[in-house]
Amino acid sequence: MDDLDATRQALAISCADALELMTDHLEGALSGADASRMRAHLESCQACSLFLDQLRATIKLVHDAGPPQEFAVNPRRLESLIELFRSERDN
Amino acid sequence: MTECIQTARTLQAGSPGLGWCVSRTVPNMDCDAVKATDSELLEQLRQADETAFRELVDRFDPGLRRMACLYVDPSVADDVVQDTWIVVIRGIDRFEGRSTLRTWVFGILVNIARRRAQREGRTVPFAALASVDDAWAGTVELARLRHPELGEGYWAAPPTWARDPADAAITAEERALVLGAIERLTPAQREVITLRDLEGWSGPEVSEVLGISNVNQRTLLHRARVALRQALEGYFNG
Repeated sequence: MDDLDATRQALAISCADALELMTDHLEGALSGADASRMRAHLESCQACSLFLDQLRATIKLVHDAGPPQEFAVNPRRLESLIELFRSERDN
Repeated sequence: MTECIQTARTLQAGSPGLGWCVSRTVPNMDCDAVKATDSELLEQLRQADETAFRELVDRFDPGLRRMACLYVDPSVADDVVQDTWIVVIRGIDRFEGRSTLRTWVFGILVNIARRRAQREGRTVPFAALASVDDAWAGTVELARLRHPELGEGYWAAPPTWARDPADAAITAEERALVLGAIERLTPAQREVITLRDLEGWSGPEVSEVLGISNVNQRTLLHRARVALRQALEGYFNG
């Protein structure tokens, strides 16, 4: 076995395959065998580990760009709903 | 959608004090714990407890409005949310507790919003059909996966970013970039990533509300995240 074969073997799967499995890996959705191959690949592949870190950074940025902590419910709308709630429960 | 989120931010500026706990608290709770809280609240609602109803509206209304904006114009979102509440009020006795209160209420909104959007001739996000329709060229361009020695399918060079966002707080420019990139996603990808990564819902909840399989949900999420990472790469390396 030459050096390239040994490298491919250590990587377990190709980068192209690992990239398609990134979200499943983050979600803990990979089967036992796929999860081991993914872990082996990430241990040996700096570029895919970097990509995974960037994906995590992306998720964090989307989260941080996310919804405001507070938001007003229009009081008039709320009162009309309360009225409907009252009349429906009375029936 | 950016417009809608901005509208939400504008509105919140003058309205401190109202509870907002749609997303980031509930998904971290154990599902059984959520259902226990739900059943307590449901019991109070069935006993015509108006305080419980106010709590329900406070809890879900902001998220419902943001969700409605995925489907309809912000000017119509209030109507969609109001119609949702009317169905909820009339359906309290029929809710069987098989899902959480949140997925039940948001599921109602999704149905109403999709119908309304169709009526208005808008492109309706419909995740259930998306994985069949979307063309997918792979997570990264094939040209970047041609290692000089290992060959096809292996990185030619690591995908470095000139700047690393690391743990720094998000800047206004980054926020605008992220929201703009979300808006350019396919409607179904936008639907999934908004609920998952912006609102912080769990995968099973999103699958249930959108009526798609978990596998489809993850596929759409992956494609959306990859597109956003790509947009950020262009920005950080620009």
